[in-house]
Parts: sequence; structure tokens; C-alpha cells
Amino acid sequence: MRANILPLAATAAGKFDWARENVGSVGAAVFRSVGSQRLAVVASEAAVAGIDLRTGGTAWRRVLPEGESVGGLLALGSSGVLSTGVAHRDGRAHGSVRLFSDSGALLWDAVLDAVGDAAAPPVTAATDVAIYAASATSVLALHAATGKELWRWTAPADKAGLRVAALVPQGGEVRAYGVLDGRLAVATLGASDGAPASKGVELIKGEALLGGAPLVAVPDGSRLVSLSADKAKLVVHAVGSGKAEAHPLAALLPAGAAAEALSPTPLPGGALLSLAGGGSAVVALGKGSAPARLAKHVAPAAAGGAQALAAAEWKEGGALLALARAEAGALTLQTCELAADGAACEWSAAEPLGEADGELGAGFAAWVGPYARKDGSTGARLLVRSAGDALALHVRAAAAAAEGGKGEGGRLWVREEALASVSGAELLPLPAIAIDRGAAEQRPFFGFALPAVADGIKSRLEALQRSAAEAEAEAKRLLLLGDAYGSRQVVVAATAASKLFGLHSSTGAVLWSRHVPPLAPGAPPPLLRGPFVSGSGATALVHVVATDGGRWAVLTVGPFDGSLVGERREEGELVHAAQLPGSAAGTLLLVDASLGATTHPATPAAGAELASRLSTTFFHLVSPSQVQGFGLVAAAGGGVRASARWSVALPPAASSRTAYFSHRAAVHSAVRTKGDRSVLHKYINRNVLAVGSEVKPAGGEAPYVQLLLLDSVSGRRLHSARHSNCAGPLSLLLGENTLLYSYRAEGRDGPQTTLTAAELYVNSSVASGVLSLLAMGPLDPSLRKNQFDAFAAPPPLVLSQSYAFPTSIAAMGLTLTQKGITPKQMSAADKEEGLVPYSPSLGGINALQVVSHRHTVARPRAIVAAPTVLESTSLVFSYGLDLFLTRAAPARTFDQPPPRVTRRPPPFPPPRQLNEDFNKLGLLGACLGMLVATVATSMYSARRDLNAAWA
Amino acid sequence: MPRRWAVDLADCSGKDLCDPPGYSETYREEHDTKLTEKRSFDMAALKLKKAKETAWAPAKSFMMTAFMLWMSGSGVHPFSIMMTGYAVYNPINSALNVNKQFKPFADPKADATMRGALLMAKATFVVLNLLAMSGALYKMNTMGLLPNTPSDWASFLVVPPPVQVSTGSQISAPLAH
Repeated sequence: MRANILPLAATAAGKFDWARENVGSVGAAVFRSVGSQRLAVVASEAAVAGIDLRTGGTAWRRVLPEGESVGGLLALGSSGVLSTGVAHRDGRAHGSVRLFSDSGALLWDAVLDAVGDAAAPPVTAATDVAIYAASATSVLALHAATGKELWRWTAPADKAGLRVAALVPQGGEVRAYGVLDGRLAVATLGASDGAPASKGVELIKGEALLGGAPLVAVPDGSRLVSLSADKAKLVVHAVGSGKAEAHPLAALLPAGAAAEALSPTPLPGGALLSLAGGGSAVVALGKGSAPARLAKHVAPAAAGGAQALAAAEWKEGGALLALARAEAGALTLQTCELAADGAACEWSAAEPLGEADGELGAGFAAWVGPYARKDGSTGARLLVRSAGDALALHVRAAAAAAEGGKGEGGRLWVREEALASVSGAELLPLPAIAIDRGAAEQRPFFGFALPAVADGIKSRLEALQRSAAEAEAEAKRLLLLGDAYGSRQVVVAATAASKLFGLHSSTGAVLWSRHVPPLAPGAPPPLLRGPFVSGSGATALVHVVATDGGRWAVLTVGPFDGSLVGERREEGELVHAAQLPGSAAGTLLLVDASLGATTHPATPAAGAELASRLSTTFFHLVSPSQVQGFGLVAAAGGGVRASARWSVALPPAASSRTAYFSHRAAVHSAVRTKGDRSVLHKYINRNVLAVGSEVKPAGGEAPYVQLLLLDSVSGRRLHSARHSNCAGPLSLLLGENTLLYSYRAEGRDGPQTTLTAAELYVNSSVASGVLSLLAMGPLDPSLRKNQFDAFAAPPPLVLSQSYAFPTSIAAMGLTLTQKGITPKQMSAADKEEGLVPYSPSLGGINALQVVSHRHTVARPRAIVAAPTVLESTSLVFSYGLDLFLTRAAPARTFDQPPPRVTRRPPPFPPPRQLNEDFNKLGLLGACLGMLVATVATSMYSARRDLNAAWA
Repeated sequence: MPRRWAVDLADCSGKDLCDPPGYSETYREEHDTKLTEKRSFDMAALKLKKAKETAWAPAKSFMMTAFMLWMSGSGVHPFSIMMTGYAVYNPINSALNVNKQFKPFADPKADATMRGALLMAKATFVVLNLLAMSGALYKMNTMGLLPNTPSDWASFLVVPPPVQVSTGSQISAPLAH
């Protein structure tokens, strides 16, 4: 058994693949200017990136190490952008601080002390010479230019409950404010050496604080604001004093309004409060002992609309408040300039920023980037992240035209960042087209180029006569045309951002997108299951099941244009949704939490189909602690119910992953041929469930990895393996009779990624000798005795070997071809040259075996494959933070026909064996030369014969 | 009165052509019969000898064929397949045409001993051709061209379709039932 990682045909590199770089759901953004380039530096959980504000393109991107996420960004003048986040290492969460230059270079990074399993990002404060970061009980001072640690302070053991939540550098001191036993506490440290003041950690007199509420320091560092435990008072502490004053919010807020949370966004001389029921309030703190007052109140958004409030530093220590509203299909922006003293400001007139689609209506986040216009007034760019994770830049409609924006109205560009959270994908071929069928019927002849040239001229003339709209429509029509080989497909992807996408497999272009709004007003965003494909060709449909815990819906959309064909909404909690394997109509089986089973579509035909398969249809549910198996029975009052049949407990304190072998994957051979040409009968059970668990036992025992193979029909344990002193990351891949899994083994020389391959065989009851096989003849698969019965089949014999692998494996996939004849690419057994001697290491990865070649595909999570019409070729789609799609031909392109002339649009050249490296001129010259030589030698030979006859 | 020592060369006593002087008809007849018998015996032995040589010819040519087969290697390539094909076809063809091959050596006047010897030569020819063919078949076997292993008949063993089907979902907590 040898692992074979997608060997790449040298001729295919870069021709049939594409990659798409994403940033992910943006959680923080700051606006920056680098020379003439204006950037939005954005951060998601996985990456920090600079986005060109003119084009929306990625100027740079830095993907964070696995297990690290960014929580906030802080612009540091000309130094760059400081990111703060959490890094999970060794099972604990650490604070992480990184400084990026505006060109994307990582200047330095630092890791803070471990703070437990679920930590908030560290709080930071910056001066010209040092950057202070605090996480839990420790404060770290770093050199601003080099990141070198200047000093570190940790709270004394008797104050171990302190959680530092704000840092205020002032003069030669740094005050670390935190919450200790629900009270505000401060530690005053020397800015140069971190030496604590003699008083150590002091408690500040005042109200008890709300647990988890931020401590917000106003930008000038004079005051610190938080929320009282009952959310009824705003607690304001003058830095340097020993007490905190409480300002009752009832007196400040409008009647009926109540504070919900304190925003961590610092405002000059004030604080920003989120109000219960929506809306916001800006409270001005007043100078000295002046009472706090309400500076601005923002009413909740109208029904069906949404709004977001953003603030950014602006002139002379002030701030620009921006209120973006998405109502009645339009996005508007109002701004007001908040002075440094927090004086009240007036909203500007609402400026239209273009259309607002349903994604904005369901809620969005916004960041404002103010700038000075030439006339001295203040302009603002608005970076918007929709509920569907689309990132868009909006400016005023007039400014959009000035900036050469392509978007309508005030939307300059949009980036579909939901594609970084793909949770499931299916590929299906675009419908075949008449133009290809016609071309296929043509037979090549010597003057083949002439009609093609004439057709080309004719089509170009037609293109010139078209209007822009007609040309765009024609381009769109051509984009949706399939090909005779089935290699042009649409990738239908469901994402964690409740959004569906249709991507073109040849270019990665987004053909369509559809956001699934919450299933009820105020409900959380729905979780999408699927997609499930029914039908084929032009009549194919895609079903997606949306659930939010209390409701569920099945959306049926057209896979090629995203049109909504049907929608079914039901109340209740759905626990299982899957397509019935082998169902010609693509019927879905849906099971709710009360074990009631139904079908989609809810038609009598679908019901009858399920009723006819009750005794042979099963399902299982995998939870963190166990796997439960269910069968289906007819309910007493009609309908169908699920009946519990078995359960298998999983190891405690484990995180598990599962793998299946697709019911639709083609398998060509029931045996594996060995080196001596004898056969091993494969154990081909499409209902096998592989569960891999990373177990971290309590009590200091060594972690281990456990593998379990279950028959998901009968619940029988087919195989189990335990690898002691091993840990994750764990990846699983289940083939027709092969299980591959990788994990990290803690060896003497450090951790080593290990790949274990287990092959499943069975002692077959059918004859295996030549004569008996001949006497028996071909088996009839329609006979029950020749089918796989989960309750009667013998258990498999498992042959497994483990290998050291040179790199960690994040995801594994298997190529699928139409008939299953072509060898699978992930694993290949050596057949003809005898048995391969075992070697403990698979060695290095050959550069030619890296399919992504020039692309870097960040944080892959899963790999799916789809067959094409060509048996040799399958499409392999990898999704994670980035997307990547390529054509894989494990046994080379043995069945691709020679090139032929078609009228394909330029972006989609036909698959061909002769690439541009082939010397077509040389071939033509050789043919002509041979022709001339043949004629000349014939003439010479005839003349010589004639002379010989006369001699 | 005729002279006693006179010979009339023109007097042939009824013959068209006179016998040469000193020629005795009696002696010629006696001598020719012996010579003919001896020549006839030599020809039959020669034919038998030639038949035996023909019978053993496949053994001699097989050495060259075996050398060529060995040189063509064990890989399945057009050249090696062609060589092996000829090595199989030629002995079969020769064995089937054994009578044609030995026709020049057949003598209708041959006695039983001679016929037996010729039959033995034919049998040797066929056996040696079969041996040559078996050598070529062995070569085919080493090349994997003979369907004599279970893997060659694996298409008789269909992939068993499942009787039952099962699907799965992930949930956050076990379902109480």
C-alpha cells in the first residue's frame, strides 16, 4: 500500500485549476493609507489582510497559524496595524499580539501567558516606544519597533483572580485596570521597568461591575468607563483617583430604554451603549465633575430593516460617528462629528449608499473610514459586512462614480467572504449544449480549418453588432454551457454564513448566490445542511435544509441560476436530513427530534417510496459522546417513525471526526489483485461509518487516538484501533475498502505525523479458483445471495500499516470517476511489480505531486470529488479558508480524444492531448516533406524503370 | 565361305542399332538389376534420414526462438507480444501441416518398416512442435497473457449492492428516546 498524493500531469499545471483566496468573516477593520494606495486592513478568525479600497482586491494576506484567531485591530500611526487574538496551543489559550506593516509584513509577534481554555484577546495600549499588552493576570511591555520583551508583570498569587481588562499608559507609569472579585482594581507599574508601585494591586471604591463587561478608556486616557453589575449605572473612574463614580442610566437614557452592553469602542469624552431592544446611546461624560449626559440616542431600526453604528478617530482627538441604515431596500449613511470633549453632535442628512439587499436587512456590521474632501467637508467610506459575510465598500453615489466604481449606486465592490466557510459542496455538470453535439457529429477532413475560420469571422461580426447588454447576456449564456466531457460543472456550495453559492468549475466565478435569512424574525441565522442534488442535466435541482433549532425549511433552487423553485417551512427541531441512497427521484429523509420521519417532497409518491423501503432504510446520529442507530417503522396513526436500534459510546473527553464512503461512488472491481495475480476479496460495505476520536484523558494519562469502524445499519463493530501517546490533528478518509487516517505520534525525536492505511477484505464464499469461477459464471447482482446484507455478512479482515508522513494532513480526499475503473489517487496498491517492501517512511513529497503548484491553499477543511464523462478524469474541489479546484487524471488522460475544432468561447478551451508545447508547425512540415519526397521518389523511380526497359 | 575372323559391322541381325564390339547383353542385364536394387535401397534410407532431420528441426529452431523470446524481455510490449505470438503460432501451424511437411519423404512402395519409421518421425515432429509451443506458452504465462489466474476472471465477481442503506447526521447531544 502506498500513499499517492494526487500526482500532477505536467501538461495540466495551471490550465485546468483555479484557486480563490478568502479572508473569512471580517470581525475587525481599520482604514489605512500607504502612499497613493488606500487599504482596509481587515481581520477574520483566520487571517489578516489588506484590501485595496479601489478594487476590493487582496493587496496582501497573512494567514494565521492553525488554532489562532484575531479578535481586534489597532492602528498605530505609521508603524502599522497591531492585531490581538487568541492562540490555542497545547490545549490552552494564550494571548497573541502581532504587528503588521501596512504592506503586510509581519514585523514581530508575541505570545502571552496561558489564560485558560476560553480567553478573550489581550487588551493593548501603545506609546511611541512601547506597546503594552495584558492578558488575564499578566502585563507585557514590548518594544514598539522590534517587539522585544521589555518587561513582564504578573499579579501576585493572592490577586490571582485579577483579570486585566484595560491599560492606561500615562507619564512614566502604566496603569493596568482589571476586575477583581467584581470590583475595579488597578496595578500601577513603572513604564520603563514594570516595577509595581508599593501599593500593589489596589481596589477602587465604587459599584460592583458587570462580569465580562469591557473597561473602556477614553482616548485621552483620563477616564475609564464600565457598566455596573445591574446594568443600571455607568461606572466612571477618573484615572489616578481612588474611586469610581456611578451615573444612573435611568436619568440619562430616554424613557423605557435600558442598557444592554457597553461597546468596547472608545469615544472621546464618552461611551457607547447598546440598548435593549436595539438602538444605541452615546453618553458624554462631561469635564471634571460635570454630570454625564446623553449626547446621542439612536432609535432601533424599523421592522424589516437593520442598522449599524460605527465610530472612527477623526479631527483633533474627536471621532466620527456613522449610522448606516438598511431600510426599504436602500442603504443610507448619516454621520456626526463628535468633538474631543464629547459635546453633542448633529446627524448629517441621510446620504444614499446604494441598494440594500436582504443580507443587509438581516443585520450587518459596519466600519467607517472618514476622509477630508477637497471642499473641506467630511466624507466617509463605509465598509459593510453583511449577515451573509459579504464584504462591500459603500460610498456616496457621486463619489462612487468619481472613484470609477463598478458597483451600482454607492457600492464600489463586494467580496463574497462566505466562501471561506463552505460547509458542504456538490458538483454537477452544466447541461450539454447543441453546439457541442453538432461539433461531435462532424468528421475532421483536410480543410477543417476553413469552416472554423469562417465561423469565427461570422461570430465576431455578430459580436460587433451586439449591444453591451446583448453581449453581456451572450457571455452569461456561454458561461452556463456545458461540454461533451462533463468537465464544466457548477459547484453548489452551502456555507456557515447561511448562504448558498453556485461557482463555475472552470474559472471559480460566482454564478449566483442566495442568502437564507433567519426563519423567523429575531431567530438566529439558520444552519444549512446539504446541498442535495436531485435529477440531472438541465432539470437538476438542489435542495438545502435550513434549521435553527426551532424551525426548519427545505429550499429548492435551480443549480445553474440560483432561482428559488420551492420552499417548505415547518416547525420543530430537525435532527437528521439526508438523501435516500438509490432514490431515483432524490427523495430526502427528514427526521425531527421527536423521531417523526417524513420525506421531501411531501408527495404521495415519495411517501410510498419510503414506505416500500422501511425495512431496509436506517440512519444514525453522531454526538460527542455516542453514536445512535435508528431504523424506520410505520407509525400507529399513519406515517413513519424512527425506532432506536443500537448505540455505541465514544470515549469521554474526546473530539471526534467521521468519514463515509459515498453511496454514489462507482466501484469497478470486487477484488484486489495481488502481485502473484491471486485475488483478495474486498469488503465493500457502503454503510461503514468511521469514527476517529482524539482522546485526552483526565488524570495525566497520555492522550491517544482511537479509530472505530461501525456498520451503521447493524451497529456491529467492524474494526477498532487505539494509538497510544498520539494526538490530533486527526484526518480520516474512507474508500471502498480502505481507511486512511493521519494523526500525530509523539516519538522520541518529537512529534511525527503518521499515516495509517487499513485495508478491509473478506473471506468470500464464492469460488476463487479459475475452474470454479468458469463453472460458476458471472454472478447475478439482483439475487439476494449476491448482495451485501449487513446482518449476514462476515466481518472484514483488516490489514493495516503505518507510515511516517513528512507533513501534517488537514484533509484527505479520494478521486471519483464515472465507472470507478481508473485507480483512485489517494491510495494505490502495486499490482504487477510484486509487493512493495515496507518502509517506515513515505519520504518527502515530490514537487510534481503537489497539485496546487503555484497556489497556496490556506486552511483546507475538506476535499470533495466529482466524476466527469471521461473515465480518466475527475474534478477535485478543496474548501477551507481558500477554495481550490483542479482536474485530476490518476492514470493520465487515456481516454481523451484528439483535438478537434469547436466553437468554444475562449476562456474554456477543450480538453486536449496536444498542448501548446507540441510543435504543430514541425508536424505540418514533416507531413509536407513526406508528401514531396513521396511524389519525387515516385517520379524518379518511374523514370528509372522506363530507362531500364529501353536499355 | 565366310571368314572366321571377319566381322560385318553392318550386320545387326534385326536390331536398329548394332551393339558395340565386345558388348554382351547377358552381362548388362545381370549387372543392371543389382545396381538398381542397390540404388533403390539407398534412396529410401536417404528419405528416412531426411524425414528424421525434418522431425528434429523444431528442436533446433526452438533454440533460436527461445533466445529471441528471452531477448524480448518479460514486459508486455508490441515486440515481445509479436515474438511470443509467432512462437506460439509457428509450431501449431507446423504441427497441423505435418503431412505436407513429410510428403516428399513418403514412398508408396515402402514396406511396413519404412512406413513405421516415417510415422515415428512425424510423431517426433509434432511432439517437438508441441514442446516448442509449450515453451512459448510459458513465455506468455510469464508475461501475464494467459487467463489462468482468478484475477483474469474477476469480472465474474460483481460488486455486491447493499441490501440496506444508512445515512448519518451530526448532532450536538445524544437524542433522548
